[in-house]
Amino acid sequence: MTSRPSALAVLAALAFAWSGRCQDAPPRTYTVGGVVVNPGGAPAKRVRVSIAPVENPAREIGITTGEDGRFRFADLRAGKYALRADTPAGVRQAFLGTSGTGFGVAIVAGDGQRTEDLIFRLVPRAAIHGKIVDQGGDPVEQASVQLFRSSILAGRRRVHLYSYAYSDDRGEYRFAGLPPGTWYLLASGRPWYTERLETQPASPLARMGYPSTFYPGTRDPRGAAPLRLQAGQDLAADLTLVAMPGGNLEIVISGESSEPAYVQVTFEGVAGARSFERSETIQSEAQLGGLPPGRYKVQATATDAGRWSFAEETVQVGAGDSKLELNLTKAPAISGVVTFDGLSAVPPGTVIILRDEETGTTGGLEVSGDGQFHIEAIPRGSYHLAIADASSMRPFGIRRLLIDGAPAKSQLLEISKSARLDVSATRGGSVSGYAFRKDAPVAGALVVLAPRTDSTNPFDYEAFQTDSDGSFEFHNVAPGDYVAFAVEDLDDFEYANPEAVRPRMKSGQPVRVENGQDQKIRLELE
Amino acid sequence: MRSSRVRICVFVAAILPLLLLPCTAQESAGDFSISGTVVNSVTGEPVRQALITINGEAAGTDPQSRFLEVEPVLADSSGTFHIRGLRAATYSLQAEKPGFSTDSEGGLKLGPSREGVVIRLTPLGSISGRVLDADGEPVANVAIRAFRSRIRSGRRELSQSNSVNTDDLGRYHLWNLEPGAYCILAAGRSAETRAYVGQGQSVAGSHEGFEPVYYPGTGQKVSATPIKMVPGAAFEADLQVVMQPAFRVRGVLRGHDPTRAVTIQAFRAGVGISAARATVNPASGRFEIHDLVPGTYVIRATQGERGAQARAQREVRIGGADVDAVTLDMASGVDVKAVVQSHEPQTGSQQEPQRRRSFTFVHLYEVDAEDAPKPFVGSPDERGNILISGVPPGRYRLEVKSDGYAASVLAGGQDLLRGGLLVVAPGVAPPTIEIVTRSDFGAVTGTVADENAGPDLWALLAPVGAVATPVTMDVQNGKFESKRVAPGDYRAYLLNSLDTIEYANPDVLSALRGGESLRVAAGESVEIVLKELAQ
Repeated sequence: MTSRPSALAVLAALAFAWSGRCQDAPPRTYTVGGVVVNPGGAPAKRVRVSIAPVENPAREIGITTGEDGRFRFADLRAGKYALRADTPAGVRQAFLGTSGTGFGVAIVAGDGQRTEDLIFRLVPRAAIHGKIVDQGGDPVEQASVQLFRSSILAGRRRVHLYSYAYSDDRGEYRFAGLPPGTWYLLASGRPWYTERLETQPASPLARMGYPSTFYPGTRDPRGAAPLRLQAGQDLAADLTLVAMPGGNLEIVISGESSEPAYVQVTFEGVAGARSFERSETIQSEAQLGGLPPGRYKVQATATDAGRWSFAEETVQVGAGDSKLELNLTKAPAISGVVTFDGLSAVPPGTVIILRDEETGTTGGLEVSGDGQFHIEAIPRGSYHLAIADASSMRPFGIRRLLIDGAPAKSQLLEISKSARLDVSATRGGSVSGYAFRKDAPVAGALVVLAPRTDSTNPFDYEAFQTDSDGSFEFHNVAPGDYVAFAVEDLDDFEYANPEAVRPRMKSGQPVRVENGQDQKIRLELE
Repeated sequence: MRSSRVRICVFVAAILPLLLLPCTAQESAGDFSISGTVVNSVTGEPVRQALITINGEAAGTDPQSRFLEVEPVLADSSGTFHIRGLRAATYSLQAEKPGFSTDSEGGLKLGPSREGVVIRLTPLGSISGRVLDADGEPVANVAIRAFRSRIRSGRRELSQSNSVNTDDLGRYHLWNLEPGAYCILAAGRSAETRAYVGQGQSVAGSHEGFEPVYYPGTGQKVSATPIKMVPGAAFEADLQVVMQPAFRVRGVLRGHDPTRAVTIQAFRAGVGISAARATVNPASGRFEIHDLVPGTYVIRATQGERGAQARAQREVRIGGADVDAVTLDMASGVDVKAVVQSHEPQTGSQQEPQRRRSFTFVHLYEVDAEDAPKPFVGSPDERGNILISGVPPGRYRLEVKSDGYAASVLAGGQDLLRGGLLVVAPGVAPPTIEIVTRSDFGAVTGTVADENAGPDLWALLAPVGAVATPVTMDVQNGKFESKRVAPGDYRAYLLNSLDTIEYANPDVLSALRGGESLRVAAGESVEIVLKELAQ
């Protein structure tokens, strides 16, 4: 247990440190170096290798490798460094980064650390490509191809839209630079001739559509086959779209905007991931033809002289004609202030983050120096709130949250109208230490700090990939009771899912975090 | 017996019209058909699944029954189509299919039905290729732009027709290219402006860039070799770029709206928009542009839609290092005002200037913008005043399009008719543009004396002194004429095409041989004889 030092003690310590600096030899310096090798093991040239102190990414320096693939950064102070490579092909990779998890292994420079002969192995990226044809075998041009990834996002496994593309005149599409993992593919569109028949909506041809079809060829998301992609693989996935008559959906836009509205029509895809069926810009009304029968969510967004307005409805489309009225209303505004315990001003680079619970979409806004923030417009919905340091994206603890002056029951905000938030954040405490297996430090393991009681807020769970010396550190941890444990299945472990975490907590180490406290712990990997 | 025969005859006489009537009625409701095939005009192969749309026009004046609505059909897998249930009328068919130019077949009179109609669709072309570096490695995310090269109003114009990015294998593919000439440019890394929060966001793979390269391997637009696209051709055009260190421009925006999207671009003379990636922090205004190889650029920030745009720009020279601390002060567009005075020819008295309302349009073309930019356009009110709002800061070339001719265009002492540019400074309205138009045209008539000149001929009057615009005249039966020639000195040429020569380019004209000099005065007619084709 430590207590906050008095100002006098701080001054005394500073004076001591200064006198020490005057008398001691210059601090020792260290070298981080090695060779970048391509997946085949040969030295990789023209790779930009960059290094930056973990705590100060802006102090990045870099060199470009020559024929021998070697890099060397000398005269580094002891500390943790982020090392990364940018290849000539435009791919960025963190040292020992493998699967696009967002984690990375920092290089620890210091006494006893072997950092001069690192092997920085480039991991080949993979690709998914294919051809979209119609039932007659003709290529489908302008088919919308959506690529979904199943991965751990903020500690929970989610299937989410990763990228999209449109097929060319040969029906071909290609997604490149992909990390290995599990993917799903969806294609949709309309036969080319429907666009020419917009003035003849009654024509049977004008009602034709290509129902959204998941790979390998099903309209049922439950029948979608995962594409399991290996590193460096170039995976072919062709799809056949079958044109069939669909329903016509007339959309009428009204409400608080004279500007055209951007309308998205989505449906529930694999594992609930929203999948796009259609998007249109609509002035006041439009007819969406050829929609396959089904249940859709229709969202409209418009901005008029800087004022945002939204509308959302769910509609069941059958084989006939349907009509939907969307009334645009001004979106709620969220404003408020962030204060920190014991600080007169918020730390520079503090951001407020809101994460849509349904879609996982995350938005952030930098708060001003006095802690004020104002989000002009935000779609109605449920959001998880976090206050974080923008450079590291480490969340601060939230000690108290008031919504329009009343205490909030949780950090899950139900936003249906404009509101004022008063957020009292805390830098909390720190938890750091090393992960071992049989007394040897383990680099690249995942250390989890989970709240002792289950939480549905993913921001309550923290994870850290251990650095080259096996160390880990959690800062700005909100006061409370936690359990720390280490796992090695970095790619698959849902560290913010209480169901997945609970069994691991039994063998974990209880930790109580208090403000200003810095705890050192040791974790053992099984 | 007798009486019964009579009854039968009456019955037959009564039933005959009944039998005929339904038959006539059935024909008028649509008993005719059109059938035929859609074929590829180059290969003669059938085009399957082409869309056939039909318009019919029947005799009569009632629009309700005159214009016939017919259900469109698709050709089958052998390119064959059948349209049934058509009334006696005149029909036109239009066939279209992706990858082909649309074509039509008109004047099809039905009654009887028509068979064997053939619609020939001209296939469009494609250009594909790879972009490789000097090591033979593919270069991904390169912005490939196709420019259609053609002569418009006597000037060669490169207008961007398609744009794609190379994939991870360095490949690109451009399609639906109409016959014509195309220049291909590898412009840089594919570009966009990304917003971020916090301290900074670097861009992956931003340490190397390359000088833009036109096919087959030149940095200059004028040296680019156009690819001649013929119907249905698939052209291969690989490009090699030389990778070199790329640098960044960092700075801060001031006076911007942090709630609106901002676009940051770098422009380069001869290239237009440089393909370069940018990041911006809307809260702090800090921005970075990546991928810039050494050279001189105009860095521009833009917010809002055209006509209500805020903009800032600054010239930046990049040597061998990043450029820091560039400040961009956003300013809204300003009003550009002009006034038009027209001198009409008046019989028996001196011409008096009048302010004109109609048939005058002022076009402002931004000089430093992308190729063939859309102009800002204004026309005068009833008092001859023109107001063009929301013109962002920049340099503009002015064009006056009028039923007369522009005799002078002045703005604050600048002669905009003789190459001067209108400069719009941030937040400052430029001086009012004073435009004088006249319509006291002269006339030119002429004949062609060269019997071997060929069938399709044009006469060109190229102004000497560059104030007037060139006049082109179609030669019919060896004669040509124009009654709308602005007074001035001209050189007349005989040409066999207007599509292949930059007849408004003084450099091109100065190299032409075989012309005749003439002077045109207001209200007078000049006769000339052109003896030979200009060479």
